Order: sequence, then structure tokens, then C-alpha cells
Amino acid sequence: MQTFKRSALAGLLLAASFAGAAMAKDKSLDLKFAGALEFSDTGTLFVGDNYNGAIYAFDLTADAAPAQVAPVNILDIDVKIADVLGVPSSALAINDMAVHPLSEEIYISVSRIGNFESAPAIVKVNQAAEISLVDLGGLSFQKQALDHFPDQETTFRPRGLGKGAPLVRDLAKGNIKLSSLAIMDMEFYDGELFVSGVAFENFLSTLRRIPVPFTGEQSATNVEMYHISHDQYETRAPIRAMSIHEIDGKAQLVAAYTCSPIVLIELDQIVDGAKITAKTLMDYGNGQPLDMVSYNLKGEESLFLTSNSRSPHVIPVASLGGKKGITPDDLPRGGQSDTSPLMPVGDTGKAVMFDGMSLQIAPLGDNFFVSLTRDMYTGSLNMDSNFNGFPNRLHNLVAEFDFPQYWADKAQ
Amino acid sequence: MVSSLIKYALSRVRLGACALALGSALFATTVTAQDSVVTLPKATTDPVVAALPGVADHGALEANLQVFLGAAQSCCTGKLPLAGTYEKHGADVVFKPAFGFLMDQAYTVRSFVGGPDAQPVLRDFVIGSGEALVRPEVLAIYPSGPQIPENTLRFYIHFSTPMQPHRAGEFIALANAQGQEDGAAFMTFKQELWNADRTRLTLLMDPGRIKRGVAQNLALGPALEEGQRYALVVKEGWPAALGAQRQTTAFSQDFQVSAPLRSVPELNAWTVSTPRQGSREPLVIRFDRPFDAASAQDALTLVDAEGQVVSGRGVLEDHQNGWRFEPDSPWQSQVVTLLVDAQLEDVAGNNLIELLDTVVGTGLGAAGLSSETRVTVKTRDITLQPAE
Repeated sequence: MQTFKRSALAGLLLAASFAGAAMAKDKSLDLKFAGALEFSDTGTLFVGDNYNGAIYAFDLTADAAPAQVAPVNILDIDVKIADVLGVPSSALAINDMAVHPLSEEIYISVSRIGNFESAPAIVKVNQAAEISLVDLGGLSFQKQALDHFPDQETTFRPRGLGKGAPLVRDLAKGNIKLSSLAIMDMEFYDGELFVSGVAFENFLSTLRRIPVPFTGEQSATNVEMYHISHDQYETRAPIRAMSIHEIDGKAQLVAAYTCSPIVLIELDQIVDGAKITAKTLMDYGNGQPLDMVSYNLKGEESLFLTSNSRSPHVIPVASLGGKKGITPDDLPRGGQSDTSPLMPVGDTGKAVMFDGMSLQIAPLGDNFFVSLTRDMYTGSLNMDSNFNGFPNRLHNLVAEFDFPQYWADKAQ
Repeated sequence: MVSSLIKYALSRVRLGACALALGSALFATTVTAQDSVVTLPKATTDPVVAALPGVADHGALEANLQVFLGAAQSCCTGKLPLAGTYEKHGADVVFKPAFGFLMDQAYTVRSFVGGPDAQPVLRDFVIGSGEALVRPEVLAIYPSGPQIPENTLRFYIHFSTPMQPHRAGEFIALANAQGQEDGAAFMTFKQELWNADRTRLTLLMDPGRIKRGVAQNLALGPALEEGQRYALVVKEGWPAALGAQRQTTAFSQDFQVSAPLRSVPELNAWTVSTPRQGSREPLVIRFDRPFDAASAQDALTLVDAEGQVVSGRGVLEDHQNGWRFEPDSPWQSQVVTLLVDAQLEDVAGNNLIELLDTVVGTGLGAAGLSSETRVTVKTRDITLQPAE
């Protein structure tokens, strides 16, 4: 039995089919996945959708700045976001976080796993630490579909560890689609959006540049780089995190790859259809970079680079200038890992303390980092804001200062 | 992920039921009279409705009615309410959650019936995945007719409950009169073609078997041959999406294959009944051929003399060879116009603009139109019988 109800909706469809081009402007939001986030300087929010193969730009430019930026701290942020979305926290995936440049409100993109499907959502945390769902349907937006977008079928080929039988979690990689890496990181710079990720056709690792507001124009450049610890040129694995700076008098993109080269790419080289080779500057050791945050550390422009398996790395931007790129000729042959005496190579940064692991980090005002931090001992996921000069709660460690005798002796 | 979610959901069923019992024990004496004030959702997309006559503006709506994740027993200290929209309809405050409720998950409604200073009333609910406990059944297979053309393009299989995906190859077969199965009749994709809640599967006949002169057609011949009998078989044992222990029983639909459809639909050959003006008599159309069940759902529209869509209920009938429309209110204008979406496809995938399978060089297909453009074809004006 097939039935249908004739209604106002049918009237609208009909009107649309009659009106033709005049009503062709499609303003219904079809976002399927809220992944990578980035703000423009004036508050346009870019959202990467790896299912639709598109970037959406939402207009949040009307938001106003607070008088003073307050640190925001929320325990069990995942449970609280899940409460708002009406699911247990096990049915929530947190995808990215970004801070509005004016309102200092913290935006978090998530996937909500429902009865039979997952739905995208963006929640925001305001300066009063209140969590709310962003009504994306109520915002005006632009959509830019991406060229050369990967299909939704090709998955990774899992590796075992040596000769041992692969674990279930090793094999699980075989279920992950390459398209999940299609929009890895986005960086707004001087009226353009730069997007790193995997694209199909020719190379896989690609940098895109798109004018803002979107005009339909876009460029895609294939990026090759010499990977020191793998001792090979790589063209497939994408840039994980990036930041754009003036280096050696030119606008250059600082990019971090897995296991873990840092390379430079001149923006002028990123032209449509080009295949470019990045300048490899260093390899600071094994691990997968998560976020690269640009900030001012004691008057010096610096990068704070988080990883899923290392302490954060702090790199002064000035230390990346005046360098010759590292090539295979500069090093002995063969792959290297952390324990090799050769490693790290060319590292101009240093590892710094961070209590817990930061899954997402972003600057909050000039003086703070806000982080979604996994607590080492409880496993809870907390939103923490700390002074960016040393983003830690050192007093939570048990040290000499925590002994009452220390203070008693000091008083004498 | 899925298995742990189901485990979690199952543990929630028990928790929810237990909390429900506790809740009524706690509140039965004090709030019996007010208990009926809240209408709990029965389906995942239902709203929560509370009769709160004293509540006026929007901010007050949110303050007087909230829904929380979890059972009443553990509600609501330190918890944030679900995001959603609030509306006031008369005395009722209507809360629509931003996302549908999860099945088998306890939620608690908190309402302040006696005003904001009164004790809140907590009521929890669980929307059970009842379907999981029902044996999945094949409700229908389209085309549903006893005769279908040799170049039929699609079959739709409707199930009573969401099904486990990626099993169609195992459980669906096309069998000939001798019971021999044709393993290459349907297209195989990495992604099966399901509707959103996975109750309708679309099977595409391998177009290589239909299109004349291409390799598959030459090597294997057409999957369906004129004059022969076949059965589309759904085998026993296909598990439902929830509750793998619930499986299909065998189902099969027989049909005879008729000559291929190799012409575009002829709208002029349709017969249209003329209901009486001022009555609510149905308007019945007989097509020149069976149409694709899904494509025909939204393809036909009636508009009145003012160009307004006539509101009512249209139903495909006679094995997709006809359409019956019953207006919501008596026919007003003397003339109504039938509009047909040009992308309406017959069971062989021919739409009003072009054939699926065209002999190269014959130039069939309406001039200047392509199936990419959305066109509505005005077919004819239907003059109703004058009112008595």
C-alpha cells in the first residue's frame, strides 16, 4: 500500500519546479558530518563535512567580544554534551574544537550516534561555561563542494605488528574510509581558506585554497615531502595540522605530519593542479600530531603542537627561518625511530609538560589555551583552560612543597 | 561500537523499567492528580507535551518543562536538559527534542505543574525497540503485478522492521520456473540501496543484462525472458537490524514476464475519471503501463483553476497501473489540471523525456530536454461533472 499526503510541501515543490532559475539558490542545510572547524578573523565558522565532500561557512560575525576573557573549566564535558544531545556519552564522538575570535565562545563539532544513523551537531560553550546546541539551521551559510573528493568506499589496508597476529583493533583500521582524512585541518589566512587532506586522482596528500566568501573557485595542489624517519618521499599521508606565518619574508605554511616531520610550503606555490615538494625542516619523533596552535610566548611568536602520543612540542616560529631543507643526501639510509641516536633531526623546539592528554586545543583570548583533556587517572574528558605560558596545573603533582614538614621547616 | 551500544541499550531497558516502578512508588501519593498532566512520547520523534496553563512566555516554557537523559531515580542534579524547541499551544507546552529519542534509553520529564516554586514532577519513559522483538516480514515487493516487462529495472522489497545490511546477496534470489537461481541478475554495490531506516531495499537489475548488445546482455542474455515465469525469493534467516535472533521466514513473489517496454509513457493514453464538482468522489487514473512504485509516489499533482495544489490523498493502485486521489475537501473548481513530474519512471526506467535503453542513432527522447533538468509536464485539464 502506497499512500501520500498532498500538502503545503507539495505546493512548494511545484512552485520550485515552475520558478526555475529564480529559486535555484538552495538554502536548506544538508550537513551530514561536522568535522574540522576553523574561524575567520571576523567570525565566519568553517565546518568540514567529510561525507558530503564540502565545506560550509556559517555566518557568526555578529557576535560581540566580552569585556574580559575568562578561563572556562568543565568536568566531564563529554557527558554534559551528550546530556544536551540526549544520548549516553558512549554514543558521542568529538571531532574538533575552535574558539570564536570575538565572542571567545568555544565551538565543538560532534557526531551523535542515534538509533540507526549518526547526526552532526555543533555545541558551544560560552564564557559562563554554559553548554548549548548551535541552531545551524537558523544561520545563513555558504557551501563549497570540494573537487577531487575521495569516494566513500576505499578503506585503509591494516598492518599487523611484525609477525604477530593482528589484534582486533589493528584490523579495525580496515573499516576506516580514506575519505575520513579528506578534510584534516583548515587554516584561514588573509581572505582565503587553506585545507589539508586526502584527495583522489594523482597524489593523495593535497592542499586546497579557497577564497572567502566562497565564489565557487578552488585550487588543489598535490604535496610531496621527504619523511626523515621513514627515509622516503611521501605523497599520500596528509598534513595533520598546520599554521601560516611570515617566514624568510614570505607567507609560508608550517605543516606537521605523522611521525613527525615539520615542513614548510610557500603559499605562492599552492596553485591549482601543481605538484609541489615541501621543504622538510625537522623530525621531532614518533607520534601523530593533533593540533598546531599559534601564540605569543614571552614576546616570541610560537607554535604549540599537540600529539596523540608525545608531550606537546613548543617551536619558536623564528627558528624555522633561514633553513635549508633536509634531503635524503643529508642522512644515512634507512628508517629511524625515537630510539635511534640520529633522532630527533633538526629539532628547534622542545617538549613541554602537559598533565593528561589534550585531544583538542585552541587559543582562548591572548593568555589562555582551552583544551579537551583526557585525565590520566580517571579517564574523564574535561574542558580545561590554562595560562598559555605554561598550560599546566603543577600544584596537582605531589612534590616537596606538599609536605607539611617542608613548610614547618621553612618557618623556622 | 554497535555491539557495545546494543549492550548498553539492553542494560538501559532494565534500568528504565526498574526506575519506572520506583518512580511511581515515590510520587504516587503526592502527585497522582498532576501525573496525567504530561503526555509522554510513544515514538522516537514524538514531542513531550505538558499542560501548564499558567506558563506564558518562551523563557518560562524552558524553566517549567525539561527532559533529561536517564531515569527519574538519577535525575536531575548536575545534569543538563536535552536541547530542543519549545512551543505553546493553548495550555500545552510542547517540547520537541533537537534529535529523536533513542530507543531503549530512559529519559525523565521534569515539569513544574504548581508553578516554579512547587515541587517538580518527575516522570521517566523508555521507548522500546518493539520492532526488535517482532520477526521481520516482507510486507511487499514492487512491482507487485502478476506480469512485469522483460526490461524491468528495479525491485523494491519492503520489510516490517529495519534489517541487517550487507546480507542481500545471501538472502535474495531470482529463481526461474524450475527453481534455478540466477546469481548475476542484480547489481552488486559495496553499499546496498536502503532507505534511511533500512526497511526498504532497492534491487537494481544489472543494466548490462537489460541493455541490448552490451557484454553482459550478449554473454548471459536478459535475466528475465518474455513468456517465462520467475519468482523473487527472500530466503529464511535474514536477521533484523536489532535482535539478530529475529529472522525472516521464506517469502517469494511469482510473476510472468511480458514484452519489454521500449517507448516513453504516453500521457494521452491515460484514462482519467471525472468526479462530480462539490463532491468528494475520488479521481481515478488508469496509466498506459505500470510505473515505478517509488518514483510515482510524488510525481502526480492536481492543481485547481487558481493554480493551488489540491490537498488530498493519492494512492497507487492496480499494481502501479493506476492512481486514486481522494480530496480532503469537496472539489471546488470546475477544472483541475494534472501535473506530472517528467522524471516519473515506468518499471523499466523510461521517464517522460527519454528511454533508459535507446538504440544508438535513433534520436529518441523529447527534443531539447534532458533528464538532468527538472520538468513538470502539464498533461491535461480535467473538467469535472457539474454539481447536482
